[in-house]
Amino acid sequence: MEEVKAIMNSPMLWVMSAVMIAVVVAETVTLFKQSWDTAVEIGVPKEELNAAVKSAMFTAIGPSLSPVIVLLALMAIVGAPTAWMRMNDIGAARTEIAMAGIAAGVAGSSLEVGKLTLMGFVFVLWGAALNNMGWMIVGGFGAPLLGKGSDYLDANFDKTWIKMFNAAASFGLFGTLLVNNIVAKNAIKPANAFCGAVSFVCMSIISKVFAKQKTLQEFGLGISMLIGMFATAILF
Amino acid sequence: MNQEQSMQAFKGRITKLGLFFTTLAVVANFVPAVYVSTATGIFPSAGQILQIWIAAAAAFGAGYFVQPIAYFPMLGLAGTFLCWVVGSVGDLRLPCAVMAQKITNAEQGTPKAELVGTIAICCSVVVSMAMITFFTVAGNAVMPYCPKIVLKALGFVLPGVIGAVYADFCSKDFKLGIICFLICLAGKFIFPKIGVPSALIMLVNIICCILAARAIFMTMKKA
Repeated sequence: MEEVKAIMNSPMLWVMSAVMIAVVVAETVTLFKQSWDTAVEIGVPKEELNAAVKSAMFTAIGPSLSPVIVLLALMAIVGAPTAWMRMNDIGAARTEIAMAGIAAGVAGSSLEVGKLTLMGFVFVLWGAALNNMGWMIVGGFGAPLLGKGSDYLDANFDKTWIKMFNAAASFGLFGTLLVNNIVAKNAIKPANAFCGAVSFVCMSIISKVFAKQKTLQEFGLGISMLIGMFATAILF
Repeated sequence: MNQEQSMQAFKGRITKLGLFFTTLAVVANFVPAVYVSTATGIFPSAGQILQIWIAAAAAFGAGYFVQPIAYFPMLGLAGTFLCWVVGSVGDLRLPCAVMAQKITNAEQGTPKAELVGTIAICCSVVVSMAMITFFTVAGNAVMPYCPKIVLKALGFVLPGVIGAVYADFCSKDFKLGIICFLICLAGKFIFPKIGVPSALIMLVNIICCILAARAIFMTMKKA
């Protein structure tokens, strides 16, 4: 366990995790310069571009803060360097946690605190890379072709059905993960079931009753998760 | 150079740069995994890599295709290249792009909208990266002093986060959510008994949920 923690937070892993960060920074700076220069070239006034920069930075603050709670949870599970890297690249916090759980499972380990083995951690790293590669390949290498994909979907499929298809796929994925956490060996795990139920109810209340409170909505996932986790820790 | 020529040149440069950076990102993606495997001597076998990859694709594969296609009209070419490396598209990059386009009166689909949108996305990366880095460092400093109850609570992260995520999806389609949960619950007990390999249960659950959704959709259409 100590060995796992040591490597999870090792200086070398910070360096290795920073490689992706460097790529993201380089791409961001390059595309910014290209877009800015071309915008000036086609006659967009500099005042408008400055206004765009200010509004984007301000708009980014709220949504950047809301995954912080889940970031801290991810740090506790896989260590700070990995959490830092994965939160800065493709894959929302919930996707990374879900994938980490799946990968640890393949290694015969689990994400429960103190139970992640060294092999489990290795598999978590490979799992995150293999999963994130999917979006990079389709969205990145496939970018020049996506326009055609978009036209094809619009022409051939009902928009409502596409929404339902996506919803069903998400329900299937998260439903399976939820059931795997709640049920083990044909018996229900009371603590986990309680936790899942409490956070489900909290999130439902926040979504429905406080639908108009924008800030609460942004932090709703983190808050529900915390209430579920702490209620369970206190009662079980 | 007129606007069309400028945009053509822009698209040409962006395509080359985008493909270059995507290649770097895919490599950087694997660097920590290769490092830790080399340092510990634990390498997943080819079979285990395939198992992990199948599990990932079963869980998230639909998203790899549907999300980039769906968001392309709003992000444009440059925006797309950046977004699928940096992530947080729906909840962060897109709102920033849309706000910037609104402020500059850029109509969706125009060259101005694409350029302003891309500039906005780049700015959002600066903000999000600064925040994540700050909280990672701060959290790391504070973590060793956490009381025991916090460490105990962290053991329940998975059911906590997944319960909340499930509720979030249910707020948009409660009926489908409950039906799918029951399918997954039934699947947990039934599929192993009828010989479905455990690695494939998630994929089979997802397929069953999609079929259920199709049945509901067809009933909706007939009504």
